Amino acid sequence: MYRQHLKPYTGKGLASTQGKIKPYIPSESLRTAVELAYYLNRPLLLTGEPGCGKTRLSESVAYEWYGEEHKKYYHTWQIKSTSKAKEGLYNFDNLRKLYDVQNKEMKAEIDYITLGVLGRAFEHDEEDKPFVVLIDEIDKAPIDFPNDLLYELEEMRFQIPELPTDHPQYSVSAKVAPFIVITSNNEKDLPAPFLRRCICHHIDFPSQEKLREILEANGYGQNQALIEEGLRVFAGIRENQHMENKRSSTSELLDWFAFLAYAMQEREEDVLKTLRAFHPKNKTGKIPYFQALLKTPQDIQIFHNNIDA
Amino acid sequence: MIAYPFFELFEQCQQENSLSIDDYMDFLHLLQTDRVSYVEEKNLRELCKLLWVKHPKRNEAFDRAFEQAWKEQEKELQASLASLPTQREQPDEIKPIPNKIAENEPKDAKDKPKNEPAKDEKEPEPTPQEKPAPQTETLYLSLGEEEGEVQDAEMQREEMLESHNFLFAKYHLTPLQDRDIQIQWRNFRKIKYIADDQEIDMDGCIEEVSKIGLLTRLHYQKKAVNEAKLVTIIDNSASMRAFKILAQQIAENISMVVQNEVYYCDNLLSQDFYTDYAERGEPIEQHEFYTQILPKKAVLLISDLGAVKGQYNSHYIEKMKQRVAEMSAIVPQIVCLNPMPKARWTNTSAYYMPFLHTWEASHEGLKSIVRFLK
Repeated sequence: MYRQHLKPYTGKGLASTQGKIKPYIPSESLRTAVELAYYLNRPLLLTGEPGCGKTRLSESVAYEWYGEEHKKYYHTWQIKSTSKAKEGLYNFDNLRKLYDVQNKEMKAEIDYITLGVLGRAFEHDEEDKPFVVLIDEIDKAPIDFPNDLLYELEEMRFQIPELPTDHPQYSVSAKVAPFIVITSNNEKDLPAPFLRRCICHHIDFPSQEKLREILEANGYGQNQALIEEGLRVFAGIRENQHMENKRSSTSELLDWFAFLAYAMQEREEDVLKTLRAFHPKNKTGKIPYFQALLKTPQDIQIFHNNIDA
Repeated sequence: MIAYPFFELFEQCQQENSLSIDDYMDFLHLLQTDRVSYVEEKNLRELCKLLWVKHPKRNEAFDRAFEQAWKEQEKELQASLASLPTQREQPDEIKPIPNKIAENEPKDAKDKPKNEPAKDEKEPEPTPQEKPAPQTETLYLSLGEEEGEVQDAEMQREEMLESHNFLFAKYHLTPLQDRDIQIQWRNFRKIKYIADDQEIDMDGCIEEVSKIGLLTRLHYQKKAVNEAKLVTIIDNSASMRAFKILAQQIAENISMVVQNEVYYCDNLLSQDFYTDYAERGEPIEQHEFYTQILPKKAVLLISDLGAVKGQYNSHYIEKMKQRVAEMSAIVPQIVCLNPMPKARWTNTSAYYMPFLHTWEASHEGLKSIVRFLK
């Protein structure tokens, strides 16, 4: 069922969050994807290079919608290789029950149940204030995991078979459907029926202009020379990195700029001079603080002349 | 005027992305909302992509297909989209969609009452503008044994792939989609319970306590792992060259979901096996292949078994019988996938090999093979 109203997501207003959350600058197509997924009441599946901002989008959506209260409405479910779909819905505390049985203090079944991230989001009942739920790195999960969530994500309800069928909580239905964001690094292909139920969006690597905007939003706007030279070096590094390997990401760029900005406080000219001396085409000059950008043996091999080992 | 904007584009995406009728209905619904101007090409492209493309690797191909669809039908589309009733005006006024969408709907798609078209309503007659340009062409490749002819055929194929805006260019001409292959082979499992890697069996513990009132010992359950392993051998003879892309596509996609080792041979009777089609490199000799690579793995042969030539060769059949018997002594199961349609096996060597379980390279064929191997 479609939602009655659209909750706009502009991505604006996050450029200055005074440290409450990191600024997030979404592309226009990503904003559309968020609005579309919300309106159609479908999970938004985000893919893209590691470090491109998949995980942080959901928090920025929650922040835009709920401001200071965003943590109250924002919940994450970090998927691991051992995760089971049921864990996101509810947990039945077998150990506690075992202990109670041994002590002859058996309680009602409902007392051994705690709701998981999705379960809590389904229980939430504030009109027009749906929970934002992040299911992070779903491709880490076992192969059957996405299929085990099909029914729950489509119907927005689930059952707790440990309870008697006439128990009021035997069937849990979403009072206000949560907005669900799912991220994947494409380590495993997700099953077609699962994909069909999602709005899928691939976050492309940002353009130079967008990167500049991101850096400015993160507080480096005062030093345009640093942005100019830093972005040139960064682009040169990415161009030389193998497409099939891990390439330096936006989050690594931000880390690198944090290093650079710190160093600039004491020796601004040195940093700029080093940056200017680096020429990616003929690979001359040095990359300052390369450790923030070059992480694989292949990268070290490519830039072995440009780093101080 | 176009009754169903981008319907042909949706159909192409539907096959590759396992879409259901709901995805087209959502598209129509969104066109009727007056929130965004979808008459603009950019907005429409974004909307269609978000709804119908489920994997980033298909984005580029989709963009090409969209561009083509837009160019061909721009004026009519704009007129149609501009004239669509908005939600405020006529909330339920959505015309029925041709039944063929429903026919193409994946089996897992759930029936939903919202705006489903009535099946008995008559399909509107398409106007000449509605008819899209053909997206596929039948390929008539020369499949002779002569190297020159084979090369010509390969060049012909490459040229066709390059010169056409196929929606999914790499494997567009093959009868199977990546996802199709992967979905089937995900079911290739041989679950083995490992005794020395145990997990606590909570249910077993609880059951004992509830039965006798105390826990005498911790109950364990064995850990389950998938031990299914496969060796794919691709017949690389001249008659199989036309199926090179298909064979590689199948092997590549199987490798994504199960433990699969891929080898090539000049023909199925060959004594040497290669790991790389293009480079070839040092061959693995038959003895080494049989003793070190094959044991305890299922074997998938991808070969036309002589069906391409359309000939019957008793000598070849006899030799193949020996080869299959040799392999069967080492491996638990051996099956063959024949890229030639089954109808074309009649009166060829492929038809007279009952000793080798063979299926054609189709959705059903893959399904049957996996079911057989399980």
